[in-house]
Amino acid sequence: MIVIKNVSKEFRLHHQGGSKINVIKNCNLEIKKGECVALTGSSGSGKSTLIRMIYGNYLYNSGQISIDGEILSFKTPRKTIELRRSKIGYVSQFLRVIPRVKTIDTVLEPLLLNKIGYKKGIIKVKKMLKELNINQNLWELSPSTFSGGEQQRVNIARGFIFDYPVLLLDEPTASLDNKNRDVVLSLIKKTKKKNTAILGIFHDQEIRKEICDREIDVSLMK
Amino acid sequence: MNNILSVKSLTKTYGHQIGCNDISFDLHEGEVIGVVGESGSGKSTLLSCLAGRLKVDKGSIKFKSRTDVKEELTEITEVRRRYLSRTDWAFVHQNPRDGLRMDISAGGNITERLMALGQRNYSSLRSKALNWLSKVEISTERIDDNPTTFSGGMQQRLQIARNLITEPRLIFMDEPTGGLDVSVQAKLLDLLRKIVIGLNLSVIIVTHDLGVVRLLADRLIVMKSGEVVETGLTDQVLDDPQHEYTQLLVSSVLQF
Repeated sequence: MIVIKNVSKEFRLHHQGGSKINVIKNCNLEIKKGECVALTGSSGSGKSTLIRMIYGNYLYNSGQISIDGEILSFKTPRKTIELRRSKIGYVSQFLRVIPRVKTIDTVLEPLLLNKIGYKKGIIKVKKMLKELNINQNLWELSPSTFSGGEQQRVNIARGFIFDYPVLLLDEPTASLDNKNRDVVLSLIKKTKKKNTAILGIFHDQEIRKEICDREIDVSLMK
Repeated sequence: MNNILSVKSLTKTYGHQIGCNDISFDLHEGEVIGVVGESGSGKSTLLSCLAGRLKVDKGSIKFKSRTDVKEELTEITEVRRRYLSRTDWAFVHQNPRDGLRMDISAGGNITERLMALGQRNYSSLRSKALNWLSKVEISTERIDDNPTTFSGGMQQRLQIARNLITEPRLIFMDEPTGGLDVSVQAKLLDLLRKIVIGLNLSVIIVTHDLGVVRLLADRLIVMKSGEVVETGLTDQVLDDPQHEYTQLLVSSVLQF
């Protein structure tokens, strides 16, 4: 589902003496349908960078990334937008809130973009918000004033609401208590059963043991 | 091909001074492009050239009309240009005073474009005006007041209503949130976002506010000294900028 071939990434900082930072060199990775793979490695080793490259948020300098047979390239931004809409779900570390947009609409958006009707969509959204223990009186509010954990759960709801064939998770459980962490773990397990290819960063070793099929150390990709 | 606008090698100079140089890009239907860059980078010149407000020195601008005909905008007559700018296009100015008639009531401002197209039924015009006032969140009681009595944010929303009433397909925006305080900006952005997505509009938005483009634009064009230095998916350009100038631009934004 996700195929990464000889991908390298360096950052060039023009305003800091033009220094070059090699983050990833010759990364080769394939993640199949229904597989859950964890990225490991110390902070700064390039885990998030790799995830962002697969989402098209960072560009890569050489090699090729393809999603479900379609090449993801910075040269074709419209195709990236299309792939994000239909194929790639992404739960980032932090929710980027749009001012004044209600929680319920924030979570509904991926469904509307995929032509799932409002009526059907809103039922799904309510079920998901309930499952993630987001208090019902928050649904009509914008998540901008929510606590870190609440925002993170809204973010998770948004990532899991549509059945994307590929799901990228950047520490989805980082700011959650145990009860909600377990809810997210069961969501991930359910999603896996739907044949989704999952690539994630999970700092908690127990979580990795419980849900991941294998681990890949990003610090070895140098 | 669903390009509503195709720009090729567009160049405009002011004497020896370069306005914009060799600009090429396509705009799809329903797509929002942001143009960012510092003052004097040529973004407003580009916008004025596209909207036919400035004469182009070199290059081509092809526009797809409602009847699917490709028109070369650098060659159309003034009559046609005026017609398009009243129907298919909208131009939202940074300063609402440039886009409004300050001595005519809000209702009159909103319906002017319809009247210019020959609509004369007073009650139908008035109900359309009321409808648009509520769409842009201005109290309908203010329909008979002149925009001079409106706040800056209300004037900007009135300008948007005035422009969108003919259901234009292509919107040019020049710093639509400039000079507004942040809470009003958020309201305006949310409104623009809803309208743009709801009506499937094609938009070129010129701004120096990176937050605005992140929220509204699908793709980004970064300009410096009249030239395009970087283009791409909006969040990719903002989160992983490649060009020296874009890196400076992105790193100069204050974090709070």
